[in-house]
Amino acid sequence: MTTAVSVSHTPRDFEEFTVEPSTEHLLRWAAATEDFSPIHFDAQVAKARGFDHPVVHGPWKAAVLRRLLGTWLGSNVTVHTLTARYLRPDPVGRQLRFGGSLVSATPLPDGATELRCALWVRDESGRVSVDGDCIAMSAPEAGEGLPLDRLRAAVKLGEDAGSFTYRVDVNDVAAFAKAIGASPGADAPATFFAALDPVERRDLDLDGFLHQLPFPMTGGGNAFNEVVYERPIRVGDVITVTTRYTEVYEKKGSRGTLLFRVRVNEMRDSTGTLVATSRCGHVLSYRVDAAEGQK
Amino acid sequence: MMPAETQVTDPAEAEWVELAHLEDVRVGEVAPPHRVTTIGADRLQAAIRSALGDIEIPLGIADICPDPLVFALAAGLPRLTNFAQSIDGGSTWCDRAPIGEEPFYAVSEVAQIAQRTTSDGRRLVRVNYQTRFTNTSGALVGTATGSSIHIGSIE
Repeated sequence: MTTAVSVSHTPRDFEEFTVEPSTEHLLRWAAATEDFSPIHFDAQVAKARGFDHPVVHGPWKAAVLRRLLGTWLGSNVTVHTLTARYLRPDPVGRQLRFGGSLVSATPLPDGATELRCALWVRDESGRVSVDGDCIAMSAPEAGEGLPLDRLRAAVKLGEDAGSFTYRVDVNDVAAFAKAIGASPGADAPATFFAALDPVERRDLDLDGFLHQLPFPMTGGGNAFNEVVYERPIRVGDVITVTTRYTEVYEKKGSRGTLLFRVRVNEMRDSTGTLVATSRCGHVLSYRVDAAEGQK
Repeated sequence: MMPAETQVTDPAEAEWVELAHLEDVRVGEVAPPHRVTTIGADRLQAAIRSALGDIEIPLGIADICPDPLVFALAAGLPRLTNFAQSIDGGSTWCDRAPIGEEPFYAVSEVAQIAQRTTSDGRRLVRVNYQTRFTNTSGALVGTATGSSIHIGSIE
């Protein structure tokens, strides 16, 4: 089992790491990535392609940087975006220095911290052969139970969490009607409101960290859906949906601890007139006690 | 022969001009979708471990698609051929959701073609290939982008 290692997130330079990539290292990489381009191990081919020596794979250098981020930033950090620009080829068998710096650490409302890093690889002469950057997220220390306060902040409980506009297309309504065995028409089926839910459409994702909690997840799904229509949703409507989370709470259940998030979607047409209001509850279940037992 | 790197690190701030197509490479061209798994991630981790020792990090798109350029070309997308030199210009990986045991679906496309002239008069073309990875529910798990750099001869 891996032990989470916490590291200070004060902007600083990272401790440099030196590696001398050998032909064996790169052949292992070639086998893992199925990139057997001979410029990485055959001197003659490399020469014919304009290189003085066989060259190290650029993505191999990026992979080394990515792993070193685990040492530099700590194992409770998740890398969201990593970019590596391969500026110069590096000959196989020469020493490379890997380094970088933590440029900024910005606390987010949900308790996480966004980390921005600059990264580099230098050759023996100090020339930069790879430069890169990374955005990573540091999760707050896991507590004994589910992080309800963090979740309430993440979903902006009680506030508008986001507005999204969707055009109700004839093909979408027809496909939806076919899927539920209804007859297609100008009015969308009564359950069509679910197709305009920004959370289900993955346009709004404020609680993704719930899938990375240190507790085994035992299930999840919709707990309930309700809708009140002022008028039917119709083909040709342009509907703006505003989502607001109204409740976050937990309950004990047979599958462990149940975590509920309840949200309200207000649907308005292009004139701003209310068309419908839906209320949806979603539940995830965790074995919080099981995680306690593993400690 | 000019070393390849002098072309790529050219400090000239010439404008990149976007192209819709070049040779038989077209922006928007999509490779057939295919299924990928996390099986190869173990070999990849072993390959890096041989050089670096044990450093454990969470599985990411970079473990599924360690070389975005090679991945997109293997998926069937074309690469420019009429240049003096072609090299891998860089990679970007974006993780959008945790990676589990389930398989993914990968769709690679030619995302951008751009060109400019280097300070020594060579034609420099950059082709970005982007692959989107979705899970079995259709949710985006991450993307991987590889840049292919093509350098022409001095005109």
